[in-house]
Amino acid sequence: MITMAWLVPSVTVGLGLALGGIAVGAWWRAAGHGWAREFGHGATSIFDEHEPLGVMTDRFPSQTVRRARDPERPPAAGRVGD
Amino acid sequence: MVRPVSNAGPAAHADTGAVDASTRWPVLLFLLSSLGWLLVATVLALITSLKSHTPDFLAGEAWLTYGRVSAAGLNALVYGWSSNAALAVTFWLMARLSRAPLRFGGVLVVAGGFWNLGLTLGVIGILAGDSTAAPWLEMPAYATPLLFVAYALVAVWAVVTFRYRRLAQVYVSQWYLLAALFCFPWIYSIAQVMVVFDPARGVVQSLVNWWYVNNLIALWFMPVGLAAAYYFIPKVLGKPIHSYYLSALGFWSLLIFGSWTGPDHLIGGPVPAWVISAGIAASVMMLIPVAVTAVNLHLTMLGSFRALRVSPTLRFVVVGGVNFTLVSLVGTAMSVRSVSEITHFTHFSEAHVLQGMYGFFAMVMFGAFYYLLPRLLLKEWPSAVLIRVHFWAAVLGSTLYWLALSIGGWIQGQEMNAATVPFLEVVQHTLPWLFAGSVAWIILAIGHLAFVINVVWMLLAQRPAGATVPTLFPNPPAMQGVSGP
Repeated sequence: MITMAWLVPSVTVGLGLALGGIAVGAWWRAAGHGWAREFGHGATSIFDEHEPLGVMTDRFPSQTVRRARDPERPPAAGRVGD
Repeated sequence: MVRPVSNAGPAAHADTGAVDASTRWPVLLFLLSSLGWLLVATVLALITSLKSHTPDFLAGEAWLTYGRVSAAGLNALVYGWSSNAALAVTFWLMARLSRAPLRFGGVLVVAGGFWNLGLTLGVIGILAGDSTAAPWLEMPAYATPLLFVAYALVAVWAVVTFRYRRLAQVYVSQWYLLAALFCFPWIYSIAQVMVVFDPARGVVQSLVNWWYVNNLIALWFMPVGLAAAYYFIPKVLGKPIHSYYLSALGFWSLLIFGSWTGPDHLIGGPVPAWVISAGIAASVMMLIPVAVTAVNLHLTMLGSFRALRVSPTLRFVVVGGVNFTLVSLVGTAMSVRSVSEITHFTHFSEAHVLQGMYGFFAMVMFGAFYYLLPRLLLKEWPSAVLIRVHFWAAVLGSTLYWLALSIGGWIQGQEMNAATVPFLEVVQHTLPWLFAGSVAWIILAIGHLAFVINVVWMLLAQRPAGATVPTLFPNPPAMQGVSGP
């Protein structure tokens, strides 16, 4: 006989199993369509032709500001950081 | 050699410069607002710290009493500096990662106005004595609806931006940002309803309050900080994240376990034991996302640590990443009952909060600002000296504060648990450590001033004629040798 004391746990467990099953099923389907093979390519999606792999894109300001004001002045040798 | 992946031809992606230009005004508004609130929070935090060991300091004014100033300083730091910075970096990253110009920037500008107006009302309200007295929710009820309006506008923008992205691939940083943008209104609205507007009865109020504080850090600030770290470290180095699969594991384990750790703040309180135990178990399980993220970022940096000498962004973000690992490990340790018996209700907790909000999150945000401002303004940072002053002041000040209050809090906790030690004696033993904490805030203030001066100088400097790209790299081949294998 179904009583209220069993209803809430039954519904909770049932919903949990259903949602978990849907999640696993979705994963299975995605893996079958090659999602796992292509997943790792996302790591390089932040690079492009303007900021490609292998090139650093940040540094301390050095002589750039002074050179911009005085293009005749040769760049000084020295450190760019600490 | 791994080549960049593009799901469409170059014509389908907006030029990077065009994307940056489209984000200029909304990002600048939130960024400059965050700097203003950083200065306000610094002053209020310094006053709070001075009052903790010198109670007569500014004792004559009601609005400068310890309870009001400390709450106002915390809200200025959390919702003023940290949340404005989080939103600024989020907007820029979402546009960059979507490879599409930012749409409806005017909506974000309006949102910024509402957000900062609500914050101003809230902080003034706290100083005027209208605080709710709920930790991290002290802003009075008349100020928070403005924050909801602001966030509703941000939420609409976020959905539209993600919908019209031009890159099918969704990078790891976008997962974190979308999770954070979804979670913040959920946790904030529940907390406001159940703690401020229609308070729940009894212990439930405390449970909701600390559920909110924990989730604000675990599901708002932590994801935004990690999103920035996962973007800027590989981007600056010019090499991809070591393991994209590990980043997925870190993301999902953070979402699953992060939201359960709030009850460990109530160890020893009149709360059902199973609730506390669930919080402690979740805190221990948080070692998984922390370890995964730490290993992934460290292995990405491996072979490229020389780049720390060259890049200000990398310095700040890497230090932030190291602090992320440390503060998470300390947090797990604090959730253990035997440790919590000593650290609970002591200055140790304050040190832990600042290490998380400043040592991790603020440092990552500083690094992000050093990267994106030159790209927004098409100008270079005017002064390397001020950058170095900012960096070392931030590192030294936050480390000193963390060490001083952790040691002082540990001593305080042990002596409070000893029935033979009078309370006045406990207070006297913590005074030198609180004084060191004030010195730390003075050092932090110097760093913040150096940063703000550099930003203002950059804003006022003339942009080179005809500039269409940042002036950072007139000779990019000189940089390539530093990036490592």
